[in-house]
Amino acid sequence: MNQKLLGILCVIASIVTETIGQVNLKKSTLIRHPIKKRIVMVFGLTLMLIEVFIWNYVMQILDLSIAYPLSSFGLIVITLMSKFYLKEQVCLRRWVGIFCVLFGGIIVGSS
Amino acid sequence: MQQKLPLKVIFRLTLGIFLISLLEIYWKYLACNIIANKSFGQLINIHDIVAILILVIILGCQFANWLYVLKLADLSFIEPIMTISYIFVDIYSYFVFHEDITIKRIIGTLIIIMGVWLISGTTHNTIRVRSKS
Repeated sequence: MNQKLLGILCVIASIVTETIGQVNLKKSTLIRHPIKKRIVMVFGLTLMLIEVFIWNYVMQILDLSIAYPLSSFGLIVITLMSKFYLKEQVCLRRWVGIFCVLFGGIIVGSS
Repeated sequence: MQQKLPLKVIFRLTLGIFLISLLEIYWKYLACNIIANKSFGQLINIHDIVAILILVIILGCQFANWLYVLKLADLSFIEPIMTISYIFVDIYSYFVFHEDITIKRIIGTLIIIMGVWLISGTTHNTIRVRSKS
């Protein structure tokens, strides 16, 4: 497998682990049961730590100009998970804002 | 959907943006000056250990603050707002690491600010979900 493809796969893996990690951390703040709350929080934290290691590896094998714009797509995945899993209200104005941030992030990352 | 953002949320978000920016800048400083070209076994002098300890402390503060912010606001609200840290990192990188700030980068930054402004005008907390749990 060539380096670039491996790098892109690692970015996707980092997006997935970050999304699941963040969603679980948020979920832990909504749970009242103390043991369940801790389990969900530790699970979220573990995934966030795994994401740091994956991201460090991405930095070594992929150009920042490719890695940062790609990682910006994580915002969309997190928002979708927030809407459908956490049942957050995501209005049109927020979607427009998120796409602006995504677009801006792609420009900054590729400059 | 317009909702005035409570001061507590504004303060915690600002603190989070400050800590993330500080973390990214300090991490870069460590990578360039301390960790670079050293194996784990070579990081044994007290100066290196203190420098890495500072990184862990900043990381811990950021995590504690992040958990608190997550209690106050929706994930889909705060996650995009935190990207404003790109701007502080850019400004700092320009003055300290002497990195170039191009027109393209300025345009991208302005678009991020516009996006954050749009998001900040939406409701920050889905009360319906809170009352269910």
